[in-house]
Amino acid sequence: MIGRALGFAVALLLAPRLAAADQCEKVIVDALADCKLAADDKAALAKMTADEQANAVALNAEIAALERKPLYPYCRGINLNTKTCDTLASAISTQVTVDLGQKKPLADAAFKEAVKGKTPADRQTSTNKSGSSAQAEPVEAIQPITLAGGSVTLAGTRSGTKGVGTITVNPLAIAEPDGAVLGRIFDVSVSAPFDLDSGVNQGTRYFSARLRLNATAPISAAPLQAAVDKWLQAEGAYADSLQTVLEKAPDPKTCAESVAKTHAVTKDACGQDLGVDAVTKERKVAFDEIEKARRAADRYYLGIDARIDTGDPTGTIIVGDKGTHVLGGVAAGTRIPQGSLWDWELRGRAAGDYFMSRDAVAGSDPKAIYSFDWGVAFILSGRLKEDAKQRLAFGVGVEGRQASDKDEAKAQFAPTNYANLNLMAIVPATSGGDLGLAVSIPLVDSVVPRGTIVSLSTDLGLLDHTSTN
Amino acid sequence: MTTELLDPVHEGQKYAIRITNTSKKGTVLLIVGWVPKQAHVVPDSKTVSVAAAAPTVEVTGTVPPFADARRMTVVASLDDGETATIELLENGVSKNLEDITETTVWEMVVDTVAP
Repeated sequence: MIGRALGFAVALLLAPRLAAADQCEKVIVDALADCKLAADDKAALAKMTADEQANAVALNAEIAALERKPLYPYCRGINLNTKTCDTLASAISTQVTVDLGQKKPLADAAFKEAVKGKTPADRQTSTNKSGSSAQAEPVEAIQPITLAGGSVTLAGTRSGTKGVGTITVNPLAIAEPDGAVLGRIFDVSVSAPFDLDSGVNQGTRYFSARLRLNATAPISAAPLQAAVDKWLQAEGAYADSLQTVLEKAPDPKTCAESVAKTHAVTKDACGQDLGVDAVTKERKVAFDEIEKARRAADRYYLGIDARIDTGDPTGTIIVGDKGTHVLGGVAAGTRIPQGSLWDWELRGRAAGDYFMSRDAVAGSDPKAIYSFDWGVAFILSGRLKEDAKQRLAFGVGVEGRQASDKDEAKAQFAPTNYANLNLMAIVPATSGGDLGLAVSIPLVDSVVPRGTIVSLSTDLGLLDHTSTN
Repeated sequence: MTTELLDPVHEGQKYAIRITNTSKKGTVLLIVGWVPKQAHVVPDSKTVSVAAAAPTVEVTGTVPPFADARRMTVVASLDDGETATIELLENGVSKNLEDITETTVWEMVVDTVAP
């Protein structure tokens, strides 16, 4: 008895909902029938010759009439297993763009393959050799390398010709290649010079590591994610309300067709009004954020430049620079596109440098030398043709370092208190990589003069997006 | 911007969105999200950016329950002059493949599986 009563009560509760679902089901079924008729008519028309098609006036008129029906643009979306006001609301609450034209393919497979093979990634970064005699760019960027890379540099210095091998790896990009943010956060580089004249010996043993941490990647993704989630919530709330309206509408077909046609819920068609202001506003905010995020991607960076060097980078000819450097600071840059081929780039860095000498000339108990390290540069980079894979780049910049205790730095012959004018040219190499020529001219030389350094480097490009597919 | 309502996706099925930036320059953003039903919890949206000449990027997952999600929303955001190819697969079968030249929104109603 109690069971029967409960069953009756449940049936009573569900009855209006089921009835409402039924009336929306008919709307969907009728619309699908029109969709099928239009598809059949088009198939029949396609089988005719051009003359027959031109003469099939009635058939063309029927197709045109079916295509004019308000729910026609929703044909694909309403091909549903569950035909209820719930799913109908989900479908017609979209702001579908009505376009009955046939989309034409833009690019065939061969073109896409050609594009993939010949064009460079937009984010043009290189191995990080900052602060070493192998440095090619007037001020190194801190945008992480795409995946991984290597380079070999020959540097003509006062102490002889040096070779420097560098490997840079972006571990998060390798671990999570699909990530919008992770691959843009940091990379790590290690460099080891080798003396072409006498090889590596105890006097020239040297090791350096660089970390560049780009803080703009995680910051720029957060508002985008929040705006998108808020927009989708607003879309859901609007569709929930539309479902209720459809379930209560005096004529759900009239209501659904009106909504599909005008994207508005009106009292005349649906028995009640429903505002779309909230969803329209959140949609606009989300798309503004998407636009901002896309345009900002890789055009700006702000982050940390950290380096550690230990050993003697120049050997015994230049005294005073054997020891340990730790540098940490902030670096920023912006790239300003100049049309589709060339970009201007402005870079800067401000950092603190700690140096503890292990050089005999500094005495048995040297004091740590603290310096302010800085650099600014202009770079023009681009390609001569749109399909050129390799880039050209020309840059000019000034880098310097000033000790807080100049007298102590001078007494220790520490590698500080200098300013260099850095010039750079990067040109395509036949291997698919590039060749960099850099000249560093002292404007103010250290207490132990380094003189002009000329470097010739090649980026091996061990891994980038163009070679991983 | 174009918004298209495509064939429904089905609860519990594996989906994949593939995007290739076929432009010569610039970044394409792909966002995959879910419109929730009656304030139910749906998976967070996923965002990936794809540089020109990058390999095809794939976003994968499982379609949430019919009771929770109304629609799957895919946004491919392009700058002027950029081109991209996007593809939707359900259980490994391609359901839509399109070359696009402008920001495009794909909407797919979340449906039940056929009995």
